[in-house]
Amino acid sequence: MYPYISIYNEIKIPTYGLCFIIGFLLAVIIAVRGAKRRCGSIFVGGENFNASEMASFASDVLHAALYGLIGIGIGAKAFYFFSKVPRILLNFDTYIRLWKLDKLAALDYAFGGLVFYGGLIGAVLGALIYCMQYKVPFWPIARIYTPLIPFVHGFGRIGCFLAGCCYGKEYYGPLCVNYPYNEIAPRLCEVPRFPVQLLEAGMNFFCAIVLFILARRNCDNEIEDCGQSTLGARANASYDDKTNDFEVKCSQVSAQRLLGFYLLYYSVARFFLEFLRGDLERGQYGFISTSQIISLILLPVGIWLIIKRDE
Amino acid sequence: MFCEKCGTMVPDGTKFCTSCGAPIPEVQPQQADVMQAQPNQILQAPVAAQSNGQYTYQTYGEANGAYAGQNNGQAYGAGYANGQPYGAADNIKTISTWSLVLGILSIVFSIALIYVFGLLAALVSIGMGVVGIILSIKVRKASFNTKGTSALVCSIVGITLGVIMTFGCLKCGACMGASNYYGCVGALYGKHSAVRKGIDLYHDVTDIYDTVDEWSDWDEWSEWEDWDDISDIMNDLDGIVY
Repeated sequence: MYPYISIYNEIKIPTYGLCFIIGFLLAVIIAVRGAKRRCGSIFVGGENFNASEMASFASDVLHAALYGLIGIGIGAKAFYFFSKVPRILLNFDTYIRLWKLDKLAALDYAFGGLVFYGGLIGAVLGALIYCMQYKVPFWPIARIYTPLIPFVHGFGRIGCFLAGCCYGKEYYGPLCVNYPYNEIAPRLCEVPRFPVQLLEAGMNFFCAIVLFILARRNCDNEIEDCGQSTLGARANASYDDKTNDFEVKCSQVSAQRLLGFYLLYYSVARFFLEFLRGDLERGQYGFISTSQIISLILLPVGIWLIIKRDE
Repeated sequence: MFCEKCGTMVPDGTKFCTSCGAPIPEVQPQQADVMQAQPNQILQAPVAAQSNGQYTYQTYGEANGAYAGQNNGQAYGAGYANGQPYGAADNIKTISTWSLVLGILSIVFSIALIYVFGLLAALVSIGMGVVGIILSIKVRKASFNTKGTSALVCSIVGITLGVIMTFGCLKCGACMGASNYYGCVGALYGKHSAVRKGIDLYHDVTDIYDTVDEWSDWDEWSEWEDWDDISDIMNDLDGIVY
């Protein structure tokens, strides 16, 4: 319904891109600000770093986000292309005819879309490549970004709702949505549709809240050097004879388990939400769509991350 | 002063390396200006450098040929082996300049050149922005200076504008979608018959006759007749039956 938001009716900004960029910017700001503080923030749990590690951690978080952004672009486009390749190969002569007629339409067919799973895998790979290139530990960065993945994705889904992509099935019940005509998706306006994008956005934000709470670090007394102290807390802390200092015990869900929880939750939720989708053009193999196949692949990956011994 | 373990440059007097966290000994190592230039020492140097406690530099001129030759094949390994730190690669200044140049160029391409070269300029600006980000991150990891940070900011802005302009160009329609690889300028001045027809009509209406001669040999609207074919083909490919 609002595929573009215009500035003075002249400059058209695609709504989906705008929503995604807003979500991504917010996520990076939250991550970097939380990374600068040793005890984290409301969104970020904090790490057991010493001073020299802290010095570079915030910039590493920023750089990993940029590598992840590049990974999102490449991954989402690549997965869309992979989902179209079987169809192109099956009808290769038709595709060649299309190419001769209008190269731009042919390229748009092959590359003109994004797949979230491609973006997710691309982002994780981008951060991994950054950490391998500059020899930076990966899991602290993953712990900060894991709750932010559904956060950004929720913003993207709101953009989908406004733009009219990833639409739902034909639906006449309460809260059905009638889109106006949109040349990008011509069949969108034919019937009232289920607002599955809003449902996905809600599911993603709920997941983000749960992961934010799970990622917190709980110390047995509040004496972490955040400027907070509790009376008598030093008396409760255990004295470590080796370092001749009081040892504050903190517990935190391990980063890989957190990522595993997210993958588990999202692949199950996405599998079932795919049945409510009405846009068949995104790639379908009989009864199962591309995203459901990827969900089935990522589900054991998530379970493996949860069960695996901590790195 | 350089960390012995990972090679990052740290300010003098720092106790722990800011990159890998290894403790830095307080004794200032002797910084020899001339390295014993033996070819096989390049490959064995990690053992040699740590065993005698000396931290030797490689002079630019003396072993430059060997280092440059090694650099192409195995940049990081040769860098550590020579005792030369990762961040202070001899071309870090070139990299930082290039990253800034790429960042600024990507902004320029995405805003200004799109009117001349169309979609291609936007895609090129995205590519340059990506390379600019990678290079500027490399510069920032070596040392935090304003050049690296500004290069990073320019590259990010360039990528964002490039992506926005790509979508804008694809959906703009001012050239009626037909010549976005020629740019707006190419479209408006006679690259496509439909645009030509439209502009000619406009000129007829407004009585500007001096430019009619340029468009006197019209093509047919052949491309536009194919539009139904195109959408039919795309629906065929998707396996959708109406």
